[in-house]
Amino acid sequence: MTHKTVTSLVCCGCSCLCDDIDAVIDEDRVVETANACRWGAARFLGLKKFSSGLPRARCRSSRRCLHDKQWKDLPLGEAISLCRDHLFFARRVVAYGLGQMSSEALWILMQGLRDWETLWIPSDGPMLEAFVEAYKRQAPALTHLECVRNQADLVVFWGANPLRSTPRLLSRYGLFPRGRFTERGAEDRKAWTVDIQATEMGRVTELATIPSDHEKACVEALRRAHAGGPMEVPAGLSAKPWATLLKDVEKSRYRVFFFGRGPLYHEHGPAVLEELALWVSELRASAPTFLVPILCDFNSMGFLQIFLSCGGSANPKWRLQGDLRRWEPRPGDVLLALSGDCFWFLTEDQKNAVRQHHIPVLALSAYETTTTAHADVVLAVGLQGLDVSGQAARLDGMTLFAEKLWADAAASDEAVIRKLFDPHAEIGNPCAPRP
Amino acid sequence: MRAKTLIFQSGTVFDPVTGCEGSTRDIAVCGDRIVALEHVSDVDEIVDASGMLVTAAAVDCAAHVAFPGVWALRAAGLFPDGEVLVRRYAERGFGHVHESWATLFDCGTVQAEWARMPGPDISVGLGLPLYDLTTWMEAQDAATAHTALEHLWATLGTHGCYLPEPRLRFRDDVYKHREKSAQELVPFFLEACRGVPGPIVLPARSLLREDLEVLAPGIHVQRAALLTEQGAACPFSVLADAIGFGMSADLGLAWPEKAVELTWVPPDDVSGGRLWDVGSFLLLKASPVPEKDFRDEEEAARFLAKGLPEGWAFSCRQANLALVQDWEGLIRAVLEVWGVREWFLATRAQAARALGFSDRGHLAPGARANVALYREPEEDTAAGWAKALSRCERLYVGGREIFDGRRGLLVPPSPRDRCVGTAPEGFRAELFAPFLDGMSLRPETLRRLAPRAGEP
Repeated sequence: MTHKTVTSLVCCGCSCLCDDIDAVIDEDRVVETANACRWGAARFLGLKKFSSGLPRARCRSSRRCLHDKQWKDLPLGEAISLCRDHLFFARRVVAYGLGQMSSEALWILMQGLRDWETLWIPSDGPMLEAFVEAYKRQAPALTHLECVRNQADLVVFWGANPLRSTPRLLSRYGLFPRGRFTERGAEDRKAWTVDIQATEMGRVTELATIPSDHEKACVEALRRAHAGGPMEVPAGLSAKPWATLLKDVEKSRYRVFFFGRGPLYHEHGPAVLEELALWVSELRASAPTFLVPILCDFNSMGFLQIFLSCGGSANPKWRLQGDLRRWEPRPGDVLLALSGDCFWFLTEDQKNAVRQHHIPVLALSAYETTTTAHADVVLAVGLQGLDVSGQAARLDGMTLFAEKLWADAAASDEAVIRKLFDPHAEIGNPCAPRP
Repeated sequence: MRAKTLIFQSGTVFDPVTGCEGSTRDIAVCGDRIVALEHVSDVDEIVDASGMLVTAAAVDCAAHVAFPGVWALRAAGLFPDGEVLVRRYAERGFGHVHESWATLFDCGTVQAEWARMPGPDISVGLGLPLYDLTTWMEAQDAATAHTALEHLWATLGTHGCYLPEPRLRFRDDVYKHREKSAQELVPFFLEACRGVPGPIVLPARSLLREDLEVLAPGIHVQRAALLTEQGAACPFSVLADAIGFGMSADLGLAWPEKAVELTWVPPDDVSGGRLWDVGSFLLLKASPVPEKDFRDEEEAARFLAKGLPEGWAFSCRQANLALVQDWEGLIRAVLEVWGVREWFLATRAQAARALGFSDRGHLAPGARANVALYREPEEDTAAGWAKALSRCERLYVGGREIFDGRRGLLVPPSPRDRCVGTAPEGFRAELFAPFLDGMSLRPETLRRLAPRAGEP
């Protein structure tokens, strides 16, 4: 057995994009990782995210679904050609997922679809849509995770549980690490979590729980109190934790509010974000104060950057939609499930509509998912940072390059998307992704 | 494979550097370089340039196009998308854009954004808070600092250096005793940067009167016309006197259009606008450009006349020249103050020189073949020239046509060909330690960023 250690790998397990993963490789598989969280380790070791120890099934080959619900394996080029045929007849493309693709692939995809009516539904869509809307009206300041690490003496996790969504955010950037000007790490920082329920975050930060329908009112109360008014929290809530939170906010010199997707599970979530963005903008009059979204997929921020850079907001044929469940399937739609498991989230009505309207489902995926099981065509691609290389943007917008581990070439999402729009493009000679 | 050769035939060449100011000449290109006509034997393509002005492509020497956080401005509808900006640059005949800065951890973001914007050549300055040099500064070890900076520049593929301010300050009082003035820091910094290609750039707003003595040689002041405003730390007249010391600058004229400008503000002066913390003492601020027109500024107009013969370049107070929508109006306004010759110098040769590029901004043999063709003006007036120069008919970058007035942007050169920078021969991670002090990043990550960022 020949073991080899490789260092400083970039982990595409979540939007932290940790670049300090060390791994022990035994010929063609990773057998051990260092510095990775459980999620990251599961990705490198080929295991399930939530049930470590169980292998996660990979898409072994590209294939199409026959009429009798049997699968037929196809060479990748043929499968792409089949997808191209489906797209040719599309009246509208519904692109779902997107946050688990490389930036290169996303850019080619957007170039290819620029003249197509397209509904973009990123898997982090609720967060992205809400932030885009909030930025239209408010001007909360932004910062880098490196600056958070170096400067922040107050971090607030609003509706976020990074231990579940971005596990190393606390240990690498937000709470525990020692930075240039936070030399004692967590001792130099006050930390708060605001959530609708008690979570594990209560062990490492102060915790303020709040009913979901009172979130906006609480932010308003904090704003008013900060402006000099009395602390008037909604009836039934104790004012004490909010007064303490406000006191910590006012004492601090560099504040970072991390906003999670929690509030966005409720209809009033965007209003909470808007109110918080407004307060953050006001707070900076007394000290630098920042608002940072906690995105989950490793390249959700890359999607947003490229979407906006490619004129996504101005393109009359494109629409960014946050919630997949608002999609109303209609004849002429083609569903492009791009590294996202949309069938896991679709309602029964939506699934029925997909069947009823004979909407082709084209799945590009590294893993077997509910969606690949329902797809008409499956395009198997390699895993970013393991089988294939590519760029991605961290949750603070910083671009990193995740280099592949294996010399043999699996098909990258970039090559597949390029070939989808350019039949003459080369996709190399990809081996089947490893089991 | 033999390099492609083409000749721009019978064009009216306007290139003050070679002394051509309206004479009919042929310009030859071999591969990505201008060559002497007599050295061309086999010609692959002849471009009929009769009735056209043939000039070197323009250079935007002080641009903010792909800065970190630009996505938030785009989300707010305050900044055009990349395609609009690149198309405007091409339509105006710009063959090179210098992104003023990218910090160590933004370098990949900036270069990746530019890689998605096919068009002009690009160069990116390295934004460097001087805190990063304190280890060597305290040891007075300029030689090691020089080696580390050189290695960093080469690794990241950056060109020149950008200091948000020429001093070292800290936001927290507890570190105040470690602060250093420009007088203490800059001589060491200049020594450490000796021989490194590209300019050392300072934003005009961060200048203090007392800084000038140590700054003058080898420093480029970005958007100097900003100093005409009240409240600037350094009086305008003082800066004007510094011209003689070898300081160069770009003018940064304000044009009254809806747009944003990027400035650096101290952490306690953060009202209005949109802010980013990019790791410096100062915060980056994007705010709407005040409704003012440089033509109303008597002092600025006088300054123009003084700076141009001294080699100053042209830029715009808006974050980049592509943001200006009424480009024809701007050229016309400028030409009413200067002559046509000065326009060409300030937007080409002197802009390139400010960036340390001897091979751009002119059409002499050996120059990079960045060539712009315009229709000849119908009348020899400011309005006539402005009309002609506001609309490029054909633009070549590195000898390849990237824009045609009728067909729009054409297949661009690969981004790698457009980036300035050379990968270092060996990677020395240990040299990066002081730069990464306190950061989460590993040196290996920096190595991965730049060589890849240029790939299509």
